[in-house]
Amino acid sequence: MADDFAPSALDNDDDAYTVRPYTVTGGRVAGQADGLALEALVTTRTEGKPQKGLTPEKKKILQLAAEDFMSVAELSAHCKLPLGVVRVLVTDLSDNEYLTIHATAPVSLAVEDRSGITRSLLESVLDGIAAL
Amino acid sequence: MASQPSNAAVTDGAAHVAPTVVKIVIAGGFAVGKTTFIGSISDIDPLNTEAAMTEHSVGVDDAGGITERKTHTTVAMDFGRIALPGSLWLYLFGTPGQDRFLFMWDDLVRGAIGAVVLVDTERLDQCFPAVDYFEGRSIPFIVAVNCFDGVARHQLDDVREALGLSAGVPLIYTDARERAATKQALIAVVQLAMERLK
Ligand SMILES: Nc1nc2c(ncn2[C@@H]2O[C@H](COP(=O)(O)OP(=O)(O)O)[C@@H](O)[C@H]2O)c(=O)[nH]1
Ligand SMILES: [Mg+2]
Repeated sequence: MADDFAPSALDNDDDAYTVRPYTVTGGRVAGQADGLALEALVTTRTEGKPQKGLTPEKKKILQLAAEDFMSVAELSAHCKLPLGVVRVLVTDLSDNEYLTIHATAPVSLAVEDRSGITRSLLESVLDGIAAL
Repeated sequence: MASQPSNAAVTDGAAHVAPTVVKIVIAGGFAVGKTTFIGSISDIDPLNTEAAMTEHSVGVDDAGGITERKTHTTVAMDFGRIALPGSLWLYLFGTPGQDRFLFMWDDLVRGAIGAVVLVDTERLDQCFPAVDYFEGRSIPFIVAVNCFDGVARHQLDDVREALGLSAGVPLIYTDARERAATKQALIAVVQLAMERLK
């Protein structure tokens, strides 16, 4: 197990950011899960696929997302699991058809990419906030 | 706090369309009022989430044995949510306070409409990392001076000069505890984002 973790310089933030939620995620590490937005909404699929054999963490996610649309960030907060872990679990549950990830806008890792932010969207947001 | 959104969402299956999600980032230094700001206008009590940093060190103890130390450092951030008409959910994400966690900001900022940088005029320098971050990435942002105790101690012109803010960056007073004030700050961000589209 120790080998799964690279020793990292305690005083270097970049190196220290080695999220290896190995046990909870069953050895799967973040990859495509990195692209999952914190605000992406998920819902549990309603086909009633048997949850036998799923980890308690996964069952908890499915339970939460069965009640309402749940963002990745909310799942992380309610499950008290780090974001990186929840991203991996959600991606895995989606791959295995337990839940649906509702894509918000085209996924782009570039912070500068603002193509999803359209005028009509901003107008709706502005009207909505003004009416609060 | 406003009422909960009425979305019976998932109960009757796939027919329901997911809300459209947008977000605005609330940035600024430690204890400047980010969580207070979010809580003033969020439908839900601000939630707290964290990213974990696992730091591993292996050493040799006095008796010659191998010791393994695992330190979990967590970076906490909080967020709130506001349901807007037309099935729009607006998330407000607060940044982690200390600038040693700047690396996490990309996650928060990706796809955001823009940002509010909160400033405490007693500790102006604390907002520099946030201002630099958003300027460097051309993310629309406004600077909002949080009037602790409802008192504006400094003229906005003086704050603008002290921060070296360009004329294009809106600078306003706010009160993180007051919904009416935080609402105006959010409106200013969205208006700025619209101007930038032109
Ligand atoms: N008097 C006053 N106190 C405030 C104001 N905004 C925040 N505070 C207090 O300042 C402290 C830090 O605020 P918090 O929202 O947790 O800051 P954060 O670290 O930026 O999230 C808390 O004790 C707040 O109650 C304000 O506008 N006026
Ligand atoms: Mg806070």
